[in-house]
Amino acid sequence: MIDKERLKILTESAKYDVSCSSSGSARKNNGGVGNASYGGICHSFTQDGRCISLLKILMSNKCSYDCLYCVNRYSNDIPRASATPDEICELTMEFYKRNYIEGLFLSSAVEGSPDRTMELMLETVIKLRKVYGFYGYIHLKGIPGADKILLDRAGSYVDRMSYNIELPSEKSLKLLAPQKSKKSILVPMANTAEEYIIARKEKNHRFLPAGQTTQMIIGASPETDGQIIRLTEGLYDKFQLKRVYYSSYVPTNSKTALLPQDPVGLLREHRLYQADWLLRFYGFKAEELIDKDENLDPTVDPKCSWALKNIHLFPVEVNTASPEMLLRVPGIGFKSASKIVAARRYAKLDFCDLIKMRVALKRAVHFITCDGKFGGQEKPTAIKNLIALSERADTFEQMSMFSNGEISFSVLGGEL
Amino acid sequence: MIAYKISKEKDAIFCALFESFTLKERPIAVFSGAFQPSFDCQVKTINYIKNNAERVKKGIIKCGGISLLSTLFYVMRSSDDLMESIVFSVAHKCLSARKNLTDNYSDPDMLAFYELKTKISHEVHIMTGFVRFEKTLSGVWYSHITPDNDIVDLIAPHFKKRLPNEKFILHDTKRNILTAYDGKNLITLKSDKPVTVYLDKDEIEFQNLWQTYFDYAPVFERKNLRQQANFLPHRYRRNMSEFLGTLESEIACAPQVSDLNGLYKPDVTDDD
Ligand code: SF4
Repeated sequence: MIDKERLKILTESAKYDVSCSSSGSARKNNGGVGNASYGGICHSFTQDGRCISLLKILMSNKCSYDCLYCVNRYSNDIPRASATPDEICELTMEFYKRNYIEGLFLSSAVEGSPDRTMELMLETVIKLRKVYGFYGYIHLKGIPGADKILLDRAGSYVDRMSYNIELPSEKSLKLLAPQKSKKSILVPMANTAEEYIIARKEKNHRFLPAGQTTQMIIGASPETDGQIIRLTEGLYDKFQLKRVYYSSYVPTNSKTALLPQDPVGLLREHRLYQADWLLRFYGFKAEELIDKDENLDPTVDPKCSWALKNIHLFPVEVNTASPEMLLRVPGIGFKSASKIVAARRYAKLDFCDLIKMRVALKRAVHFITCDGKFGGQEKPTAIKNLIALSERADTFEQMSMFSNGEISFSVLGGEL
Repeated sequence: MIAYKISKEKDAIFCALFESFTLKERPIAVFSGAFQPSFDCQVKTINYIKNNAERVKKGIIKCGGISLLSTLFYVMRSSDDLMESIVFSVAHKCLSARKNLTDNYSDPDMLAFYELKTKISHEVHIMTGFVRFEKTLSGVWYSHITPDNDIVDLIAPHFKKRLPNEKFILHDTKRNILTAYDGKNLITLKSDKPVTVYLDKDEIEFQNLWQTYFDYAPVFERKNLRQQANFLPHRYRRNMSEFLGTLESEIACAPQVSDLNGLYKPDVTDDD
C-alpha cells in the first residue's frame, strides 16, 4: 500500500493538469471490476470548486527536464517521490470499489528518459487491465519523445490519451520549456490521431474509445486569444481531438522575469472555454468569433460579442426562427432552444413563457421578438453595457460549467 | 374550494383523479402529508380503492402509452411538497385532452412537472458519484445516503453493472429503504431496524488515503468554497468520508485568493 507522504507528493505534483474529465467512453464490464459511463461522473468537489472524477496522480515527480512554468522542474527544490505500478493499481482498485473515483488519470514527470518513463506507465495500465481486471476509465498522459510503439500500444488499453501542447506557440515553448519542441509534441499527437482514424475505419472501438485531448497553459506567454482559438480549431480539425483544455497559469515559485509573478485570472480561461464551446457545439468558426491578434472581450461572452458584431441578423422571431438560429441568440442555450421548439407547437410564445422556461432574457431580449413584439435595446453599445452589467454577477458562476467536462454535460443535457 | 387528502399508497393519486372525474370537481390541491388549507378550503379524504386506480391507469395508457404512465410514477418519487398537486394536474389535463401534453412547456403545470422530473434524474446522476462504499468485515460494501428524492432503487442498477461480482447495500437512511445486491439480484426493502456495520480492517487506511488525496488535490490559490457548495451541497456531505475529517484540509488550504470569492452566486441559471 502506498504511504500517505508519497501519495501527498504525487497528488500535489499532478494537480495543475486540468484535463481530468471521465467522459467519452462507455467501456463495458466483462467480468472484472468497473465500467465507464459515457457522460462522465463527478465523485467529489474539492475546495477549489473542481470536480474529482479520476485519481489524478503522477508515477513520479522526479523530473529531468526543466520547464520553467512547472512545479516539478528539475531546478525546483521540492520533495520528490515515485510509486510502483502495483501501488498505483492497488490504490485505483480500492478507490474505485469505494466509489471515490471513475478511474485513473496517470501522468508522470520524465524520470530518466521518455522511453523509460513511458514503459513504466504502460506496465501500470496493462497490469491494471490484465492482472487487476479493471474496466473503469483510464486516461494516460503520453510522454513526448517516447517510442511510437510504446505510445501506440498504450492506446489499446486506455480510454483516453493526451499530450500537452503546453504553450500556444513554438517561440514560447523554446523560451520556457527548452527540452521540448513543437515537433516533439505534435508528432506523437499526429501519430495517435492517425492510429485513431485507422482504428475507427476498421470499426475497432477498443482503441482510445474516448479519443485524444490536450491542454495548454494560458497567460504564461504572450499569445492572443485569437491565436489560441485558431490553434484550438486547427487541433480539432487536424487531430480529431475531443477536448482542448486551458489551464490558467499559477506561479510555481520560479523567480524568472520570463514568467508573470501573479496568477492569471480565471476570467480569461472562462472566455476561452466559452469560445471553445461555440466551436464544438454551436457550429461557429474561429474567424467568426475573433480576429487573429484580438483578445476575447472580458465584459461580455463570445456569443454576445458575435451577435453584437452581427446585429443586422437580429432580432429573430422566437415563434418561427430555425433551431440553428435560436442557438445563436445570446441567452438561449440547448435546453431552452429545445423547450422553445417543443412548446411553440402548442401555442404562440410570449416573453412570460420564455421567462418560465428560464431563458436568460436579460441577454436574449435584445435579439428576439415574441409574436412581433420587441422589448430590447437597438443600439449595440447600449446592449453591451446592459449585458456586461448583468453578467458580472454570474460570470464566475458559469466558469466552472465550462471547465468541468461532466458538469457541462449534465447542465447542458444532451448537447451532443 | 376543495382539497383532496390521499392515502400513502404509491398510486393513490389515481384514486383522486377518479373522484375528480366522476364528480366533475377540480380540487385546488392534492396532498398526502402535511398541508395547511386556507380557511375557506374544504378537505376531502379520498379512500384508496385499487380498482379505481387501475381504471385511471388504463385511461392514462390510452392517452400517452406506458411511457406517460411511467413518467408519472417517476415524478412521484419527488419529495417536493407540491408533487401530488402537480402530478394530479398534469394527469388531469392529459386525460381531459386525451393526449400526452407533457412537452407543452408554456403550461405552468407541465413546466413544473418537467422541473421535478429533471431534479430527480439529476439527483440520480450525481448520486452515482456521491455514494461512498465502506468495506465491511463480511466483504459486503455498505453505503448510507440521504437523497432528496426516493431514488435508491434507481441508483442501484448502476452499481450492479459496475461491480457485478461484489455484494453491496445502498441504504437510504432518510426513508429507511435499502437496496441490496447479492451478486445476482437487486432487492429493495423497507426496514426500520438500525443497521450496525463492522468495518474491514483496511477500511480506515483507505479512507485516510482518500482524505489525503482529497486534501492535496485542489489548487489552493484558487480556493472557492461557494462553487464547491454549489456542486456538492452540504446536505450530501455527511455521508461522504472526505468531509468528515476536515482538520487537515483546513491547514492545507490556509492561503486563499479573496477576490474570486464573493463573486459566485449560489444557484445555477440556464446555459447560454
Ligand atoms: S517535463 Fe513535464 S513534469 Fe517535467 S518539468 Fe516539464 S512539464 Fe514539468
